[in-house]
Amino acid sequence: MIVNNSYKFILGDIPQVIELPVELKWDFYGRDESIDLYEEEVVNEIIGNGYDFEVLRFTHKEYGQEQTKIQYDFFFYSGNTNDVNTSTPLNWVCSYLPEGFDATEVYYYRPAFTKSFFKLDFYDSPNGTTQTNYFTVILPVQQGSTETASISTALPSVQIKKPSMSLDFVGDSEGFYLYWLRTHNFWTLTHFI
Amino acid sequence: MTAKFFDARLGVFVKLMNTSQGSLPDKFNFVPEDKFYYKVELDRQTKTYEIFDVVTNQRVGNGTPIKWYEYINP
Repeated sequence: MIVNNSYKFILGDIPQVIELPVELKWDFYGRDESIDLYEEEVVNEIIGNGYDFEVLRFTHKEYGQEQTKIQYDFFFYSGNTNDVNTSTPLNWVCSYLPEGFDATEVYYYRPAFTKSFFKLDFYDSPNGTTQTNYFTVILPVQQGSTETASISTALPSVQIKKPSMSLDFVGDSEGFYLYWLRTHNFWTLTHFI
Repeated sequence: MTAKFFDARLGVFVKLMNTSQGSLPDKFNFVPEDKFYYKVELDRQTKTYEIFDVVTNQRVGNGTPIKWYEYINP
């Protein structure tokens, strides 16, 4: 059997290439990330590193049989201010009346009464010259238990607010919660005075 | 923790102390650090706080009221 190969392939000088359709954009790869990193660096240079200022809500630690109530009783001096040297503990009364409010003001929630409040300040030190006040809690006078008082001889006795506040998760709760930083990276304080 | 009362009728703050002056032998001569403060401790783990007497370091407010008395200036 004779095989005649009538075709002849001649390799030329031009190099043969095969083009694969794979898209490569290596030149731009990571450029966005670099911008993000640079942006972060510039922001840090301008405003510094951030701190975690998230706060936690602290509640009164339970005692007894799962009780959490905290009670504040405030006593005002009912005697003559010139006679304090001869005063006894009985001269301090848990009532707004010795402070100068009359029963009508308290009963009808007159502005002179409702705009009054108790203020608890939390310091880092008892030294008055160097201490810093870190936070404050306001206890409004609308909270608290009541006492019996007379607002008129023509009317029966009424119940008016007295400065004895029982704070808990339910009922009066303004001032029950304390809010302070979640982490101690910025301030390490955990007790106040 | 210190306490004050804002009297809106007079527009003044009334200072409060943890002991009544009536029970002090000398009504105006005492250590302010002992009489104007309670200590408050925060516990980040349990998210709770406790209040202590600054002199005895005993916990207060756990079943008994935390008392504040008006301070009368001399």
